[in-house]
Amino acid sequence: MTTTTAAREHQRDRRRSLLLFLLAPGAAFVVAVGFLLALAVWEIWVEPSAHRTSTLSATLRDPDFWWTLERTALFAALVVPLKWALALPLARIIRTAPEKLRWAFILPWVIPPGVATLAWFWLFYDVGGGANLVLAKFGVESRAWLGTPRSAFFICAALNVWREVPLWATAMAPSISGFGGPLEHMAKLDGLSQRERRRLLVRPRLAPLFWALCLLSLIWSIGEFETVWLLTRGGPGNATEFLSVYAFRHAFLSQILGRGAAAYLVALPFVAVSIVAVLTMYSSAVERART
Amino acid sequence: MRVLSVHRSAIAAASLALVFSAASGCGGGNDARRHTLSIVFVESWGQDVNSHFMKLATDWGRQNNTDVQVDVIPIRELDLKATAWLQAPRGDLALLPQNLAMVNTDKLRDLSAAVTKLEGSFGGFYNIGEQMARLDGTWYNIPYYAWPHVWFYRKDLVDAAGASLPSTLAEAADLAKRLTDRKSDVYGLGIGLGQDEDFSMFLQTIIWAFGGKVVQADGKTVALNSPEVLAAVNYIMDLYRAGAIPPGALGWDGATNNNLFLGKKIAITANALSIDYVAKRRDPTLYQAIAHSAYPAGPAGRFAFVQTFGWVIKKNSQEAETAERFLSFLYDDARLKELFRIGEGAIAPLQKSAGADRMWSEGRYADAINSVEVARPLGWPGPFTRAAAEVFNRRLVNGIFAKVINDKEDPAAAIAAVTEEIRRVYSQ
Repeated sequence: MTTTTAAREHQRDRRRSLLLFLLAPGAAFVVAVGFLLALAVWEIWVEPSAHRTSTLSATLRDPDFWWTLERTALFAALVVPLKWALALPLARIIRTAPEKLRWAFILPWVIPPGVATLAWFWLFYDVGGGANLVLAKFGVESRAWLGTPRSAFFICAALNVWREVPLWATAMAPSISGFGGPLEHMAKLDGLSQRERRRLLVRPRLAPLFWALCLLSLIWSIGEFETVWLLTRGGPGNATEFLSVYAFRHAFLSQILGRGAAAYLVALPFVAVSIVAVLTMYSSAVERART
Repeated sequence: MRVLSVHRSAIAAASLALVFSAASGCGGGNDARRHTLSIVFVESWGQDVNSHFMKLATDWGRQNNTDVQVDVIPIRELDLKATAWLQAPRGDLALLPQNLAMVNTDKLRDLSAAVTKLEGSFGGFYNIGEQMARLDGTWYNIPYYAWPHVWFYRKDLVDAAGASLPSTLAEAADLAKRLTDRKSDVYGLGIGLGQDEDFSMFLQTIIWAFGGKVVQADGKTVALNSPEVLAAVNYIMDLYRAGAIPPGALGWDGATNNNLFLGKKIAITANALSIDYVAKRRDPTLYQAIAHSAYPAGPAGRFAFVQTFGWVIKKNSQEAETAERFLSFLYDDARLKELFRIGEGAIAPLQKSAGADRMWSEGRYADAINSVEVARPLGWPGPFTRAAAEVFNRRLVNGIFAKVINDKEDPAAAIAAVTEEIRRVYSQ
């Protein structure tokens, strides 16, 4: 074995050890959570109608929790594709916009979430709010924007998308800078159609970035609290009571900190599966981009 | 050489430590020891109250060889920061909502002896303050003040309609319908029907006024599903369906009714006296046109619910005696009265002698102190319990209206569903 090979192997071993060292606490945590969840499930299996229960099994038994998890999943499933759909055209606009004006596109992301949310809240006031004033100008009756479950849900989603799309677009703008460049020119000369150029040149370059942004957005959407709390406080009813609002309500309003933590622990397996799925897509995208 | 230099460094460090400890002991005996007292204070929208309290605390600290550190909690962050303070290992003295304090008595010092010492100077507490401060005979907080909750009226609109201020809920409903003018975009009664605290307080009072209750006198049996509660719900829904309550009220937060009243979009609302305070400074014309009254009486009588605050000392505080000395200073009768005068109704006393001050019996604030006098604690007619606090804090009873308005449920069915949710809380 040559010195270079030995050195490379030594480096690889060190990297593996470091990775194990960093991942070990996380793995131990996952095992502990799995054990606690199994205990909670066993507790319910043995005594399905018990009144005094641990916080984990109380959360598992709570129908509101499963409703909340479903709502949160729906929210994340809605906002992430929307961001992708809007970010690409916006990225093209940013690329072609005058350089002095490009900073303006990132403003929604930069504005503090509380300030932005209050502005949206006033916009959708049912009495005298901006949206209803516009409707009144066209002779349309006022709407209870934040008082109706469906519209409140979509307004929360719209606010989330509005805030993050500029970040996506700004991150993607440099990656689409090659469009129309020498590579694409050569592909045109080779007789590739626009569709084929997009499939073979554009998507592989954007895919890793797309999945990385997806991952971030998924984590942020699942944990979305400030904007939802200021906008709707989880209402009307529990239409926008996402995981973070549920946890907050139990931890700080009911003063049962354990229930707040338990909500996140019970949701962990579902969140972990989603994150692993996205990470897998990210890794394959990176591999494909390399080849 | 290396060992010698380490040895020298150790000797130098030890010498320095000796010098410092000797110097710190030279300041005097234990009596002259400088104390440090950390205080958490809830921000009042009467801003003058905040600055006045800061001055009181700082002056007292200067006179008593104490470093006083005051942390003012913004109202919007109250739940979060109060919980953080309660759960933290450190901390001395805090002013907290009594319902929050009383579900954490395991972390709080027994203040029974302190209350006995103080009570004589101001003739005891109002009933609600006392009930929300004691558990099994032990005092865990010392009642300080309340946020009174009253009904606000646009007196100019009432006079223009040829009406007078209502004394019963039936009269109030009639007045609200008469004052609704959709052409001018003015609604008769502006009260949120969702998650906000004002509606929680409003709804609790209306339920009591109709003879209903959330829980029986035993404090354990949920009693929400009753004809009286149905009557209370129908009272509010009647106003909603008549268009007197704005259609989007389910989506309001705690400040929406304030903003809309100050923006002259609603003619009547129920709120703390913050509306008065802000109107006086920003819109003197509106201020002159505002009248307020205690909650109108229902078939079962006149009731009120007010948010109350009390001083707590952490069980493991190292400065408990210092905190008690500060509280003795605060609870001086003259000092209390001065604080409430500065508050201009934003805060109302829980001490009877301060409540007897002229500012409450004459002028604008008589109804404010009346709301404190007739107020009932959470869980009434039963005792205050953790479950009662949880039901209120999670706005479970408010959920009836989301079911009726959005899910189109029959009010009786909605009440039954919410009753089941509350039973789950009480069974834990």
